[in-house]
Amino acid sequence: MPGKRNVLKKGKGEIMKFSNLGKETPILDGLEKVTGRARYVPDLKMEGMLYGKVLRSPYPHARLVNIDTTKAARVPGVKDIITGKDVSQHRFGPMVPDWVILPDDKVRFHGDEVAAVAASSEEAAAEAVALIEVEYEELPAVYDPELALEEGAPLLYEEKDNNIAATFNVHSGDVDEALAGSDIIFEETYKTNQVYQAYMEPMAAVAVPGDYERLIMWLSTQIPSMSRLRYAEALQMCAEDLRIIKPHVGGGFGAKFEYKSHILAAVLTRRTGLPVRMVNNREEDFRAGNPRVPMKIWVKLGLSRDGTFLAKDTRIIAGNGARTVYAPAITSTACYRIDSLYKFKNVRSTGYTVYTNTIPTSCFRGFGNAQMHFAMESALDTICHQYDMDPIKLRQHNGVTPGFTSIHGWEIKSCALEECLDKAAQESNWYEKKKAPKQKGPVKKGIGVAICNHVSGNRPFFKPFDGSSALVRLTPEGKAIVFTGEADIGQGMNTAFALIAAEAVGLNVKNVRTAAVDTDISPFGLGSFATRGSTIGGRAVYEAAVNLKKQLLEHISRVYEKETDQITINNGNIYFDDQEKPVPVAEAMQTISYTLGGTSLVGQGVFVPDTVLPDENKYGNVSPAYPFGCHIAEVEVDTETGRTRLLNYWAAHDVGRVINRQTLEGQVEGGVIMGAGWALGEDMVINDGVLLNPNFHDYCLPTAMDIPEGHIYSYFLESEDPNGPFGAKGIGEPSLNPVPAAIANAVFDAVGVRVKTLPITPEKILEGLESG
Amino acid sequence: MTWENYFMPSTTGEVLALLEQHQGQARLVAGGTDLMVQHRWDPLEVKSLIDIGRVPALKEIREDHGRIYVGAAVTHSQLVDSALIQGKGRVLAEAARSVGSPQVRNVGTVGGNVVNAQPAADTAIALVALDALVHVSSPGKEREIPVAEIFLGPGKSSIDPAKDLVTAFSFSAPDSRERTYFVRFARREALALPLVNLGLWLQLEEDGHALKDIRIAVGPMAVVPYRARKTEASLKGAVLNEEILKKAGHSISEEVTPRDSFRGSAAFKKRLIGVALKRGIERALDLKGVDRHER
Repeated sequence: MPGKRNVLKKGKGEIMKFSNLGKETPILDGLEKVTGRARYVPDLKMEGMLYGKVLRSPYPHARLVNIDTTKAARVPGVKDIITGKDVSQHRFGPMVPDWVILPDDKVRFHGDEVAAVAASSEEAAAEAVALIEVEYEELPAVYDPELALEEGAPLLYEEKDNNIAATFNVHSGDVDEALAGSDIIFEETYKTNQVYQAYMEPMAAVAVPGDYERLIMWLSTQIPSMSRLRYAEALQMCAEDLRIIKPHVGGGFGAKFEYKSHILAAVLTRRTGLPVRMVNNREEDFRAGNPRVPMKIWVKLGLSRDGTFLAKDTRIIAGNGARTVYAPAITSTACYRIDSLYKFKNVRSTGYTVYTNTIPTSCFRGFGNAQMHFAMESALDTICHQYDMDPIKLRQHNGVTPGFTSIHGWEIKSCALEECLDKAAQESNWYEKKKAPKQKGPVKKGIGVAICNHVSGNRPFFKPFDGSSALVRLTPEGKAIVFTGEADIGQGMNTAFALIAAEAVGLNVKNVRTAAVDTDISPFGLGSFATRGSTIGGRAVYEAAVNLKKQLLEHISRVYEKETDQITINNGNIYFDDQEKPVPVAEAMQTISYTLGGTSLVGQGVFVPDTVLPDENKYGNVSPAYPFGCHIAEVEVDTETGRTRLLNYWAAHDVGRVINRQTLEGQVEGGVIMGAGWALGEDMVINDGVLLNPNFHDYCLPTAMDIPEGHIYSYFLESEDPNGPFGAKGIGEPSLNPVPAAIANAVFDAVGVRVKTLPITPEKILEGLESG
Repeated sequence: MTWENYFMPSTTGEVLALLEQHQGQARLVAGGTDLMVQHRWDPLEVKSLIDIGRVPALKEIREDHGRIYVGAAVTHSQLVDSALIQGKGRVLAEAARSVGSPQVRNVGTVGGNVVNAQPAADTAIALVALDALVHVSSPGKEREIPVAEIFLGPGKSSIDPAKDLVTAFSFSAPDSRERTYFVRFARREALALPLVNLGLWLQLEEDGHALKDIRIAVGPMAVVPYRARKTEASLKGAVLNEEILKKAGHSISEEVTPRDSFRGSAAFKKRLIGVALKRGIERALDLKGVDRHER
């Protein structure tokens, strides 16, 4: 009964009723999106706009000996060409200052930016790029992070002693002692591969000269406010002189952070004085996007005979690619975030983020936690198999519980992990299926479980602060507009914010909308990452809405001469205790506004989570709320062809509170499908530094035909987090984290083959079957 | 990259007249689903395109004197939906169903699929299994060529789209002792090149048990679609049982010569072709229940 979900117990039997939350609300901008009216950055056309195009390196590692642009400059329509000689060589970067606008010394990956052209047409720009003559001197290159660590490996940055971009260490408790005292010791190595986010809209920017010598950048980005700071640094200008506008964004999944081409568009605009559009074609986006950080993960676990976790020891070698985007933070997340999923007592982890002559890697839904989940949750499955333990019960035995503070000081305020495990087990008939005899014939079924945690905001991501602020403006017409700097990139966050504001004020969501992010108008917002939007951004919107409601009540009290405690606002109507007929908010607002010089009411809200930067021992609560989940996958494996097919998928998530059931289900189904694609076939095949499959034909994302329609089941448990708005926690990343392990575990259950290197290909299964 | 002319003739006579008139400076285009993608990397060096997709005579599927004729501009979707092909050319209907996606099948044509001469072209494999003839018209002459003979190499056929118009493919309508089947393995269920394609035609003896004759067309197991003749020979006259099928699977794995690529190793494709043959024969003869997922 969907209606029942809107009624919740609060405190001592008190029932909270929501008029907006928990329902299936189609995203408010859905109609314009499905009818093609929504404008994305690549849709923008400006008077005099030039088309930018990047010349990319055809070598994985080469010295730039000479660049001759003479012929290119003669192409009709070409307005500007820039190379490393034309731009400042100062270094900058999101985490490590290893970026330059364009290099003047060498290129470090196949696809690295060598030069950029601005021309009056795309064709002219492409022709000019093809006519730029570059003399390269090829250099020895290294592609495998492990080989890059070896003595004598070619150095990407010659001023450094080695190829290590960053090292992360954490040790809490005493791992060696705990291992010595363990009854069960398990050790294994896992590998996760490089995959592409495959957002529909490629990387895109349109830079436009603004008044007062300012620069306007329309960006397809997850981080409008943060990229403004970084681009100001790159362009050596004051951040205030840079205005970032984020219209509709066609997906990001972690990739759309700081991006070279955005900066190149800005440079070309400043030089030509004309708008410049820079949009990747799909091949470029594959070759020079920000794909997932590949990892080799060595895991050692110590358990007591009853299955209690005593020690976890891990070592990770992660591929940074040729320059640093966010891989070091991703590696550290892989090293220690999962430690707060279980009640660990002794943990140690070391992670190396290593330069290679390959595409720079970065954030991808799961942010390292997904990579580690594959290793950890696969390892637990093997332990359960070897020692005849039940995978559900082992996890319930060791999983964190409400009120628990983890070994790294993470405060688990709300947690329905145990219930998630029960729910998924029950809905999937886990216990019966595990007992069932295997099918005859070449095709075998199997079932596997994996659980997950994540954060809802990650304090160390942006050193200066975490938190959010928002404005909610109620117009004289009684409509509300939410202003936030948090970035909806297609997940439906703008709708969630509208629902939260509507619920908190007492409006109908039809009369609420969320404005596009424009740094001239919107508050500073860190953006879409770390599954923080609904919780941190949403909480700021909630606070702004509460503030607005307070003002509104005071004005209603003044205008209608009632005490504020006699006034109730619900679903767009104002009810007075002593009066049958409600007054529409729109009617009241007109009176309020017209008696006050036409003012709107503006609620302002701030949320500063009670989180801290971890100390030198990596101790400290990093997130206001932690989401959890349990996934169970059922597959069938063809033992003759090695092919795995997903049959059914059950995903139970502790989301704190359902804000919008429709987008929540969408996030879970999207996460499961994305994870299944990764688990069962997606792979960026790199040979001698060259990506062999930079297109959607050869890079095999799952199609609708590969996903069992109507067989992904999602369940939501509402643990009512004290920090989230109405108790809500995040869902974006947890929906993907456990998927590869759940599928790998199901494959093992089906055919007894343990695939430890993603993706789980037919070849690996056949090989496993043959080696018995 | 633009063309001077885009012609849309409505009869084969007009098509041939345009080819003659432009003397190699115009080439034929049907659905364009392969051509337009190739054009991006390898521009077509012609001044004009002649679209044959609006010639009614080229869009017909019909039976005539014991032969089935499929017009060159018949789309994959037409093949999938044709009761005649479903009934009398099952391997072709199934092959057409395997191509790309609904959008590609609605536009792409059987003529284009064959003339483009990819080593695993789905309908080409099916037509080779059916021992089909290609009917070719060129200004001033008409030819009929066994389809297996037009393939010269990857992407190369003896049909010159600046001179020759394929009008139709034809194959003999099967009798009650003939069966066909199509098996395909790929990395995903749609929009994927096949790892293995196998088209099968077989004919039973009158007793209904022994195999009188068999044709096995495979791809991408060599540079062109081809017939696994050694394995065919080993199966002729055989009474089918599990042992024979297993042997035939081994035989075809030995016989084919696929190459290694990032899409799949030669060893993997060799292994899959054996499974494909075994399953293809089983299913063609309904020896086992058809797995709902396998095609």
